[in-house]
Amino acid sequence: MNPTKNKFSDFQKPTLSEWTKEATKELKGGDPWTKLSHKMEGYTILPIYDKSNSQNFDSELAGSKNNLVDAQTWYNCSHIYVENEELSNKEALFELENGADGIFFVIDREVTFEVLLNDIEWPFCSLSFMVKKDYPNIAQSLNDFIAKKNWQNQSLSGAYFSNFHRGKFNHPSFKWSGVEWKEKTNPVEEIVNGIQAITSLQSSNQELASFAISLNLSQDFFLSITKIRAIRIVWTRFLKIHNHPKIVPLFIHGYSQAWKNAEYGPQENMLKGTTVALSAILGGCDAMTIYSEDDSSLAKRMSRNISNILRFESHCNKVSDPVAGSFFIENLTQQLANEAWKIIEPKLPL
Amino acid sequence: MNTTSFPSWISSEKIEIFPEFEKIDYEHLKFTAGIPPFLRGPYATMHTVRPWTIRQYAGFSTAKESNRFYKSNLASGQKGLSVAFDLPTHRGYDSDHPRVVGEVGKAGVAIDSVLDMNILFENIPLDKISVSMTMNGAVLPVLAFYIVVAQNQGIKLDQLSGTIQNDIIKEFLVRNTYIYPPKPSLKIITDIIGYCSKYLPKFNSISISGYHIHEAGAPAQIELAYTMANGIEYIRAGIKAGISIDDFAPRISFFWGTGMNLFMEIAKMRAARMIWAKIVKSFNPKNPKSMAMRTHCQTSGWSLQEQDPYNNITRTCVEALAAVLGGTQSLHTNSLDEAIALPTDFSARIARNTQLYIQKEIGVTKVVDPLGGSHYLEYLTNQLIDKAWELIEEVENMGGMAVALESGIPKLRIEEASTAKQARIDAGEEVIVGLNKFTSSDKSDFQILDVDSSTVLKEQIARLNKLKAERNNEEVSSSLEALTMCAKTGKGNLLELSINAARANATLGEISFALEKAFGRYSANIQSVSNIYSNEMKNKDLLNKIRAEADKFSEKEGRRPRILIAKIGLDGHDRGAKIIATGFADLGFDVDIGPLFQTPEEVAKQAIENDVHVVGVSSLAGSHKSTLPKLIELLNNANRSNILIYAGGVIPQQDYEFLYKSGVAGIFGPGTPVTKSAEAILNRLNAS
Repeated sequence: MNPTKNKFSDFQKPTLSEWTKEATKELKGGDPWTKLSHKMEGYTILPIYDKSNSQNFDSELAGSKNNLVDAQTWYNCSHIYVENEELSNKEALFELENGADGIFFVIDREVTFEVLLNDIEWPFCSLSFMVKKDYPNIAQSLNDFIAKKNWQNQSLSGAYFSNFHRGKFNHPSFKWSGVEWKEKTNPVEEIVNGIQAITSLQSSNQELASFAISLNLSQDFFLSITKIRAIRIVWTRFLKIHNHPKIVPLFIHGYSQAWKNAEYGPQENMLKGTTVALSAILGGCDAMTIYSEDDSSLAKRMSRNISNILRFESHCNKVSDPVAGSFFIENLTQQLANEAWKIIEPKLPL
Repeated sequence: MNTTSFPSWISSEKIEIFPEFEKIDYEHLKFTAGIPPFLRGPYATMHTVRPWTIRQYAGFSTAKESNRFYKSNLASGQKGLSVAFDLPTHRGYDSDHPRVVGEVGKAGVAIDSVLDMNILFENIPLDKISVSMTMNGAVLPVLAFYIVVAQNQGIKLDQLSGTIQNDIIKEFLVRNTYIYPPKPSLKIITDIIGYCSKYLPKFNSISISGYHIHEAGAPAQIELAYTMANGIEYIRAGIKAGISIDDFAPRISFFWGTGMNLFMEIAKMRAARMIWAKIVKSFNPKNPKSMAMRTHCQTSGWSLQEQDPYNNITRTCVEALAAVLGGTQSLHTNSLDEAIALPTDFSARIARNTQLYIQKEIGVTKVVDPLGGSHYLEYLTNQLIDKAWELIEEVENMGGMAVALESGIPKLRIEEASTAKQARIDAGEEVIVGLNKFTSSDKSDFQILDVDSSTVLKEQIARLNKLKAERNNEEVSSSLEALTMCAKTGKGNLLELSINAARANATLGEISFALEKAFGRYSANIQSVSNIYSNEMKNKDLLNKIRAEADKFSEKEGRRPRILIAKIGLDGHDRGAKIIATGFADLGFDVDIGPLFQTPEEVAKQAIENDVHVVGVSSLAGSHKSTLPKLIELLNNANRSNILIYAGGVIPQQDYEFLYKSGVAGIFGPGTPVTKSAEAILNRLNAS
């Protein structure tokens, strides 16, 4: 790699105060650092970040994400609400054959997994289950199904999300301890609450390896990216402080709810789906579900295609953590992680 | 250092993309926004204070329709206008010229005289609304009309803001809407720059365009290099005209195409600013602002697909975001039906809302150059600066772009890239959602816009006749003579004299012809690349199968299947035609590439003279329903109905039936792999 050899040596290196002078001129006398900074709930954003106002970050993100398929791996999971196992199975197979990499099943009844997952090659996709009610048999059924298929030692991507009965099952890759991540306007509070929700469920160190979260992705593009990265950093610190033998990634499933807003219509949900999906990918979600605005085959296909357009046409899968090093993003990531950690750490039972 | 198990990927810029990037202290990382070399933006505050201008390029067949469209756009939040003219206007023909039948009002608005311009801008305050005009070939009359209209509105010329594209060199390189040869075309540009820098200080007299080079298939480093090499030529032209760099440079704006490769496109815009600053610096400006590059962007039309077109909303959204994060000053977003037709209100609204959504709902305007510092982005920025600079030096060593053009090398470089890319797509190596993977048999439900050219034609002719009847024809003649004289001698300012002619109510065609008398009309030399398609096409079985079919025909017939690739009408976009030509040649055809701008008569003549088996007509500007039947009729009359006619390009599905009934043997819509069309034609030839 050859750095641009002295092509710009006759340009003076500008200082941040020179930038400030220019910005002040453009603001017709206003101070950019006050007028253009944004004080949000829980964090602050400055108008510009560069080497001079950013720290040197040692990336704590190393090893915090499993990239098994591509340099930046994510599974495009279609949402299926299970009312009839056979129909849902057919739907799942259709989705998987037409661009989905996985399914996010929402279940609020007893299900027979032999039917629901018939013909689905789980080792080659990602399956997650959001169990809405306290059905004690579901976790057991799923575990039995995995055993029956001899998948106990196979790499299975996905997670079991439930606020109720979570079972005490183990699997080397499938995350049995999936937690619904609660959104808050203040992202620092959100991270604090989220981690605390996880820790309150954790009963052993071993279990830390089985956690997953499902979070509603923010429409704020950069907040969404940095929040996911901050969550990973806090998780890494959390593991370290528990002397966990290695960094086991937290499985992060991000979803975008359907958006209705006539001001930006028609097709406003496609716009939202696109920018939110991109932020999920750049932030490093392991799985992503983009909800369509209705059940028509067109709407579902468009939502499903977003991931593949970003993958194949925009090459978002080619580079691991492509935003790493960005002064602004690293700064905000650290801000969120540090502010959250300041609150979390003292409360940890040690 | 690659700690992953994943291999690198080589982009179409031939840049190696590693699966992970580490921090490298590049020389350019120390630079900022608002200060030369403007890596992070031409302004210190960028979108944090003033978001980019939403500027949708549009033109509808008549000035009245366009005016209505502009007014409704301005009412829904657009702050600037962008005018698209029809092809006859681009090529300097009035709507009543026999050569332009079927093309009036099809690709934009028909402007024949000041009367049309008056209607176009009726009740639009030109001192408050910035107007961008995409015009290169017939730039003198169009700009003259605009100025006269403003004066009619009582507006002082120094109040006018906007842009005229006026970038003729790229026409010779890719877009082909030139009229006169290169040298006099540069004189036109020089005169316009001179006049504008004196009388229209807020008006950008040239928009140096990379968009069309991008659309022709150029990867980022080529788009960058050739666009800026063109810029160097224009600076030299301006200085030759006696304008100082500080008076000229601030009125140059740029125009990039924004494609799907997100990080590359952002890096491209950052690299561009650096290179341009360095270029301008070499002319010793006194004002640092002269080195700032301001740019407009348009999302890539070529990247949009006819198949499953709602996916295009996603594509345009990603591209728009790239342009925004790259630091654009204004932006056009394509409508989802871009691949097939002019936009309807429905698709135009989605396109406009895409920008409003990005501007208002997702918080990306809070920070200057928000991705700056990303190891990946800075690597790409560095690579592009290096690679583009190398190409610029190559062009400069040849004597500058005007000379390099004559060698044909820049054009061939672009064609190599576009051909290679098509081969990769045809082989399925490059995935395009909805086209070669994840396809759907669902039909699209939305309406597309079909412009009835004949109605427009009638209106235009009526207005032309009225104009000619009511004006002082002596004044017109003498003003046109003065124009021709200036063109012959080089004395005087062509724009100033065009304005006089416009005020006397000379038509666009008359003004253009007055210049043609002195300059002549340019006809290009056509070259082609070979073995690019076949080398890049990884599906060798398919390649060999098709070649075998061609051989079969040769054995039977005693000569190779021969095809004439024809461009009928005024549209000069030839990316598709050139790829078909080179691809088919690699696949075993004998290929004749017809000149641009042919009439059906000229094509029929060439087809018969060259004794071809097939004519492949490329149609991109909507005139297929008149030109194709006409061509078939001519061949039938000459007893050559055995010559098969195939059509390709932008032809809406709803027109297929009509064309088949007229005798067209087959239609290959956008996205048809070269191999598929070759196979289909050979099957038909071998069956008969």
